[in-house]
This record gives sequence, structure tokens and C-alpha cells, in this order.
Amino acid sequence: MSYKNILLMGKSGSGKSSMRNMIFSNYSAIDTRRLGATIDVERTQIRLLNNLNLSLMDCGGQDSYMLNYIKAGSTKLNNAELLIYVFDIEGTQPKDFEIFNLILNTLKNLSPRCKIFLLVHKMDLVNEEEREKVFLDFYVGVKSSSNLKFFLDQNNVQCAQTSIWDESLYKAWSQIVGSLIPETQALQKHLKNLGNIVSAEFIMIFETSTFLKIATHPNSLPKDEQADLDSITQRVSGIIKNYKKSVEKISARFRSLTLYANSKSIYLDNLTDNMVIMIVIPDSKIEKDINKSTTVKISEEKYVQDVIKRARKTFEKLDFSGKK
Amino acid sequence: MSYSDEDESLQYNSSGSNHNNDAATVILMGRRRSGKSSILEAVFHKMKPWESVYIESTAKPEVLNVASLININLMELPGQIDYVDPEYDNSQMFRQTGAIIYVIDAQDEYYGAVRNLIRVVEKAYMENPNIRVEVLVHKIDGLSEEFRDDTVRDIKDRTSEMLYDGGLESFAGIDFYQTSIYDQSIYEVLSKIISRLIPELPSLEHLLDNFVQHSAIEKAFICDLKSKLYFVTDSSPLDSKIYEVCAELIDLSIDLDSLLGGNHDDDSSSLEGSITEGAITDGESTPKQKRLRCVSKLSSGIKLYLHEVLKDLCLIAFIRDDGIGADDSATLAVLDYNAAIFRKGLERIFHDRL
Ligand SMILES: Nc1nc2c(ncn2[C@@H]2O[C@H](COP(=O)(O)OP(=O)(O)OP(=O)(O)O)[C@@H](O)[C@H]2O)c(=O)[nH]1
Ligand SMILES: Nc1nc2c(ncn2[C@@H]2O[C@H](COP(=O)(O)OP(=O)(O)OP(=O)(O)O)[C@@H](O)[C@H]2O)c(=O)[nH]1
Ligand SMILES: [Mg+2]
Ligand SMILES: [Mg+2]
Repeated sequence: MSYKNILLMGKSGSGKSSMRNMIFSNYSAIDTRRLGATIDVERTQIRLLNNLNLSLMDCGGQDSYMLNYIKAGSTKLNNAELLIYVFDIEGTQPKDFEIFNLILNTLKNLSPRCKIFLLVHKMDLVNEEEREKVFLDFYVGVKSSSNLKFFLDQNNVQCAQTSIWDESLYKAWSQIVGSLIPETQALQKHLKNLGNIVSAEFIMIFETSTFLKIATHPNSLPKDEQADLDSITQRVSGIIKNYKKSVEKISARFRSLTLYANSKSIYLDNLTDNMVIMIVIPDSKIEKDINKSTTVKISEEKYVQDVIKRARKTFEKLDFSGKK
Repeated sequence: MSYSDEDESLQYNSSGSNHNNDAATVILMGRRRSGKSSILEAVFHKMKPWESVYIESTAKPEVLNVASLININLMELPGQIDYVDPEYDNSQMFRQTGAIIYVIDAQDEYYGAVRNLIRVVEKAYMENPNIRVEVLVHKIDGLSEEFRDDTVRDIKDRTSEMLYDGGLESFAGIDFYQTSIYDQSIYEVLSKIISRLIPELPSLEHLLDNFVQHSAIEKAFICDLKSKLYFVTDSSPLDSKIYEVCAELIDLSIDLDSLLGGNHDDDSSSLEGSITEGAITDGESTPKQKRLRCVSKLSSGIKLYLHEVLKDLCLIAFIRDDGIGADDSATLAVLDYNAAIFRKGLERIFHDRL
């Protein structure tokens, strides 16, 4: 089985292991206080979708380790698909940029096609009003790192601000995972179909173990509506993750949820082994539509469940390996 | 249901009964920075636990009114002021209090706090022998698991020793709990403390016991949707983890509803208001203001059922189905039916109160 190598780097204490454990091991933010410094490299193998396999390397960030990774003969930076580099917004010194630059220099030689994701982290420590500006200023500063240019020129650099204390963490990691899924057009087409069948206001697909967003329908909206939908998606992701976690404490697993709210019905269900689907339907919309074409009055819930059941086969066949 | 903050001086009317506002009073005490304000903010104003670091020290007594299944005034007495100073006349205060919640910071040196607690108990007991003192060994999240029980035991032992020395060994109205605003423990403990003050508790418990019996439910709660506190649970033993899942389901339902569910007309209609409305329409909710209903299925046949039976008050049932292949829609229909009966029972109890 082939794995995509993902490097998680940054100076010691910047928050790499905190993120890894929150996204992939069910830690809550407060649990991260217990983490000690990572010794050398901790490798986690993650199977995200049917055939998307990742090998995540959480690289201890103490200077001596960092200098080891770039020593001649070290293979840590070989064959990297993606480098996630974490900067602590409060504790970054000129020396840290130098090390960053050295890493990039080695990466350029060993993995020239590597994508780079910069995370400006611990943004909760910055006053809320100043966050956007502090973030942009920081990014401008990082961009001037001489060795980043090579990757910037290939359009392979992305940057996001994060904090373990809000949903920005999920947002950034959804983007990261999104950038690793090669082909989502097929997925989008199926979602659109599904959306029409159940008259959904929107549909969201999450990865089962991490609850990161994989896709939404509609997938493009006017800019401000899109921003709203994105922020809703991330918050939903965080909320359901919490619920899943508490459910695991009674040795159970989450299966499905149906919520009748003020003017919407919300359905959450497993779509495949790796995907959870959430469908939001405006009140009694379906019943009207169904009754136009059929004489039998089917309850909305039953109808949606049937539609999801039928969709399963289609979605199980989706290939995420990137092979054409 | 409404929460309102209002400053209130410590002037109490001497008759001891105020008919316009016969709310039960709970006093929160404890040394500076022990976490009193944080507890109230986290539970009743949805403050995120980590945001509590910005809370400023409280300067004067503050009252938070919670009006729901029970009307209750939660009063924080700031740690800055010594309320058991002999100079200070606090006899009225203790006489009218249903319970004292004494908060001790488990991460700090606590001998001083225990000494202060003893003075509070002595004074309060003198004024009101029926008073309950609930000691929260708080910020327990900062202690590693193996020290938690030891710390509580130590505090407990010291307290009983000193009570003994003060000739108060017969005082039985004191209990100790571990709490933290970083998990559900504070919700569970506050629920226990507050539910004891509900006058109709026995009949409500009976109502829930009936509900549980008829619907093959493992555990049922009546919860406040806004704070997640449970006011009543059936008489079977409580497993904290099950309450935690139920509380998490409330969060999920409320958050999904507010994110996706469209607009609520957020009037401040009180519990009384919604009961009368319910009585008039004979249990049918008006079409505009649909009440929340949520069903979640878990592995091994577990189901969670949440139904808002009165405004902001929900019935939650934890169901463990071992009946293989039991018909879900039939189970749910039975639940809905019993929830409606339950709601009627609830309304009857409160009509008697009004
Ligand atoms: N305020 C704040 N603290 C954070 C955040 N993320 C992580 N931390 C804290 O930072 C500390 C160090 O985090 P780690 O994840 O162990 O750091 P690391 O990058 O893995 O360090 P090494 O393993 O030594 O390279 C922990 O105490 C975390 O609680 C954040 O977003 N905000
Ligand atoms: N780790 C942890 N910290 C807490 C907890 N509860 C409160 N704190 C912290 O304790 C500090 C003091 O909290 P306050 O709520 O202001 O204390 P207080 O008892 O109201 O203090 P006064 O108003 O001065 O009497 C804050 O920094 C909170 O963040 C908890 O459960 N765990
Ligand atoms: Mg680490
Ligand atoms: Mg205070």
C-alpha cells in the first residue's frame, strides 16, 4: 500500500503534537497541556478515505533534532507530499526563521514537488481585533524567507491561522486534507444529485474519524454566503466531534442523528465507512415534493433514510487515490 | 425561562418570606479566585472555560436569577470580603439560604480555605441548623487523576477534624464534590445541588419513574436547555458518563438549531407563560414555534431521545435496546406518546403551584 508522506514541523512548543492529537486522536484542547516534547519523530499512519493513506511525521522541534533532519544523508525529508510548518505567533525568533529556511533548502533538493502549508498558530493569544492584521503581517514576513520563493513560484504554498481553542483548527486541517484529495468532481456531482432528490438546503460530507469536512453542496456560493457556510461547516464539525467523543466514553459509536429544529430538519448518518453525511432540509419541503409525484405519503425521515441507503453504493465506489 | 443579573445589596426583609418573589437562595462562597464567577459564567452564560481567565475579581455581592422549573437566586459573595466577621450582621442571610456552595481551589494551598469554611459552617449552622453546605473541590482538572481522590479526602478529613474541635461533629449537612469548568462535572454537581431545592421533586421523580417504566428506558432526565443542568432524574442510580452524553446531546441540538435551524423568536416568555399556552392549545405546539426533537442512534442498540416538552425544558431518555431488530419507528412513536403524557403531568404539577 502506498502512503503519502506528510511532514509536521516547526520549533519545539509551537503546538504540532497538540494539533495532531486533537485532529487524529480525540484529544480536547485542555488535554494538550499534558504533552511533553516529542523525541525525534513520531510517525502515525492514517487511512482517511477508501484509499487515501497518509503517513504523518510529527517531527520533534528542538534545535538539535531540526538540524539533524537537514544533515547530509538524512532521509526524513525524502518523498514528502506535504510539509505543514507551524509557527507560534508569540514565540518565534529570527533564529527560527533561519532554521525554517534551512529546512526549505533541503526540501527543495529532496522533494521539489512538495506542497507547503504554513500554520500561524496560537492565534488565541492575540487580541481578537488585531488577529487579521497580525496574521497578514506575519505571513508577509515569512514570505520573504529566501527559500520559500522556489515553492511560491510553483504555486504550492498555502497559509492559515489557527488556534486549538476555536474552530480555526478544523478549518485549516480541512483545507489540508482537501488539498490531498485529488479528484472531487465526481463527489460533487453525486452530491448535487442527492441534494436535488431530497430538496436539501445544503449537504455536508465529513470524514468519519476526524470529522474534517470533505465536501459541501452547494460547493460555491456568493463570497459572503460561502464564508458563512464555511464557518457553519467548521463549527458543526467541532460540535459533532465533541458529541462523538463523549459517546465513546460509554463504549459506543455514533451512528445517526435526526433533529427537528424550528424550521429545518437535520439528518446525520454514515454514508460509507469513511464518510458521514449531513443533510439540512427546510421544513416539510420534501413531503410536498414527494406528494406531487406519488400518491402514498411517505414520512420525510423514512424517505431521507432510503435515499441515503441507496446513495451508499455510489459513494463507496469513489476513488481517492489519485490514480486515473 | 430567563436569567438576569442584577446587583442586589445584602438587605433582606426581616419577615423571611417575600411572596412576590419566593425564589430559593443559594450562596456561593470561597476565597478570592477560587472560581465562583467562572462557574456561574460557564454554566449560565455559556462562557468558554478558557475565557474565564479574563474574569475580574468580584467586588460586591452579585445575584444571578434562574427562573425555570425552579426559581432560584444564585448569589456570589466575593472572596475579598469577610462575611463571617462578627462586625457584619449576616444572620438574615444565612437564615434565608437553602444551601451554601463553598468553592475551594484544589490547585492552591487549601488549609486557609478550610479554616474559613469552618467559620462559615459554624456561623451558618448557628443561624440555620437545616442549612446545607456543599463543598466544591474545584479546578480539579489541574490535578493528575491519582491525586484527585486524595485531595478531596484530605480536605474532608481536615474539615471533620476541625468541626469536631468546634463541637460541630453532629452537623451532617455537608457534602464534598470534585468539580471543573473544563468538563461536565460542574454541571452534574450543580444539578444535584439545585434539584434538592425543588419543592415538587418527589412528584416529578415519580412522574419520571413512570415514564421510564412504560418505555423501557435506562435513564431519564428533565433538563434545562439553556444551562444543560438537569433538574430531575428518575430514581435509578446515576452514571456520570450517561449524563455527560445527554448534556453533550443538548449542546449539539442547541448549536445545530442555532446554526442551521433558522430564526427563533427569542421572546422572554416565562415558564408560566408557556404552560398556559400549552393548556389552551391542549398540548399542541403552535406551528410557528416548533419545539426541538432529536433522536440519535449509537452502536449496540443505544438511542438517545430529546424532546422539548415546555419552552427550554426538555425530556431526555437514554435507551439501551437489546430487543434485536426492534422496530425503531414503533419505539419512537411510543416515546413520543409517553412524552406527551409526561408533559401533561408536568403541566398539572405546575398548575397546582400557580
Ligand atoms: N494558547 C495556545 N496554546 C497552545 C496552542 N496549541 C498548543 N498550545 C500549547 O503549547 C504547548 C506545547 O505544545 P506541543 O504540541 O507539545 O508542542 P510541539 O510543537 O509538539 O513541541 P515539540 O514536540 O517539542 O516539537 C502545550 O502546552 C499546548 O497546550 C494554541 O493554539 N494556543
Ligand atoms: N483550571 C481551572 N481554572 C479555573 C476553573 N474555574 C475557574 N478557574 C480560574 O480561576 C480564576 C479565578 O476565577 P474567578 O471565577 O474570578 O474566581 P472568584 O471565586 O469569582 O473570585 P472573587 O470574585 O475574587 O471572589 C480564573 O483565572 C479562572 O480561569 C477550573 O475549573 N479549572
Ligand atoms: Mg511534539
Ligand atoms: Mg468572582
